[in-house]
Amino acid sequence: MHSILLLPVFNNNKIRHSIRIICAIFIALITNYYFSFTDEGWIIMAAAFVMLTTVGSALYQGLLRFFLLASLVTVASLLFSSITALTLRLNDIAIGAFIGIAANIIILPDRVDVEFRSTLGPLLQSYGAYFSGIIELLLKNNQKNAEIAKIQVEKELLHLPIWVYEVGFDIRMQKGYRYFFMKISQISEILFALHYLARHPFDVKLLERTHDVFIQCVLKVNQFILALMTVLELKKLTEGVDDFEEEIALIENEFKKIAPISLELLDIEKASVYFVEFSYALKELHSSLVSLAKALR
Amino acid sequence: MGNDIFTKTRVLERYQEGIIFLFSLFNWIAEQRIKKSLADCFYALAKVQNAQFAAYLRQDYLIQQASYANILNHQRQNFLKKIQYARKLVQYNEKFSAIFSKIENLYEIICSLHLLKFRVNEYSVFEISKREMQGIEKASTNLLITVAKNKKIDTAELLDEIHLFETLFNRTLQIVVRDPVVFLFFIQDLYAFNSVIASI
Repeated sequence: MHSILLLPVFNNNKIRHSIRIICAIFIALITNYYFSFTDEGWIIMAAAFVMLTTVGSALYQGLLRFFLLASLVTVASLLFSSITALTLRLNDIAIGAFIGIAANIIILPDRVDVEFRSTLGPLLQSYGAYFSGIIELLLKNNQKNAEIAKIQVEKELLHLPIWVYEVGFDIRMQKGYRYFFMKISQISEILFALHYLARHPFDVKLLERTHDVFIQCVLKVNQFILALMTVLELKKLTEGVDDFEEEIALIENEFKKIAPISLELLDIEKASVYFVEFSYALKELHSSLVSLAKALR
Repeated sequence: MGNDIFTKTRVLERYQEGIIFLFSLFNWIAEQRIKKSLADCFYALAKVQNAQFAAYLRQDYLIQQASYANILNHQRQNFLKKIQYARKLVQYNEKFSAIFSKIENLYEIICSLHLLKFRVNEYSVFEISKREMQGIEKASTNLLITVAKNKKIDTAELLDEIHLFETLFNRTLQIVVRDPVVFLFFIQDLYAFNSVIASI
């Protein structure tokens, strides 16, 4: 039995949730047959209703749903029925809610980590491709790859585990998961911003001088992302990973050689501001990726 | 005999007219669907813009960060759903591809604009610029909603608000803020937002 539960199919939280609901309804049916006070099916209904929670919020949202159902039944019973019937119904609802919440917590509980990691892997991969596309747009003015990669990023972003922000998400995991989520969203914003900035026609001489450094940057970002994905898949890293801090410094130096201005000067020309903004965003991408790596350690 | 041919030709012409009418009707319905989906994108974009500004305008932002992040994530996901649906429709109709790419461009600019919230650590700076930020938020979201309603837009209000913010930047922010160049990026992105929306 234990080996069956180790099958990859049981890693899927939707399947685990469905099995939990089926088990709970089965228990509720038996309880309803032997112990129901009203014979109106409130036990089964309450058990199913309190189980409709998001990933990682079984207890809090289950209790919330129990109180909601109890309040609705109280109001409806007071309006259309007697106090005695109300007490009996509330008894049934309490039994049903207990079965539902207990089943949600005990039988095949949500594997928050698996769900979280499974959505982030493809997203990180699409980030790498998007960044390569953006640099290609910047250096060769080739829009196509960046656009294709952007569509992929947008698709993956729809699968982001936004349930980490749901009310009642497991308090022990809240901080770490939300931090990781925030950094992942931040990277998407940085990449979209880089895409917009890369469309700007920059000085050809500057781009020629920084060409090799940008290519190095792309390689290192992709290496970094691959390393993050390896750690997310719970595998060991075979070799160390360089970050691209050095390349960013080189890009800035080349820029300063061509446009020797201080950033404190506020009458910088428009094209220069775009380039400085691009290198700022690059630095932020770097620091977000490093933060992700630190969070995974 | 001649009369018979004449009647047949008339019937054929009627059929042709009917087919043309059906084609133009389907075309009209398809165009209305695309227009509706593009309008939905603009509405969703306005909501994203509104949610992003919470970082500068809401006093409880630092305390209630998770709740604001939740709102922003929902609005962002809503926008991404709308834009993907619109992309599916637009790919069969070249006529609307220009406006579609402008929506994408506007979203990128909004992302670039709001990198400011990660770049400025001192919340008191946003207290200084609260009035100007409110003006920019109101003017920019109003513009997006006006475009969504397919009405004529006037970017003068947004330009005025950008000028007010620029004045504040020149007088105060560049002295007070540790890294004033980030506000320069913000202003430049605002001008870019304005020019894209004016070109719609």
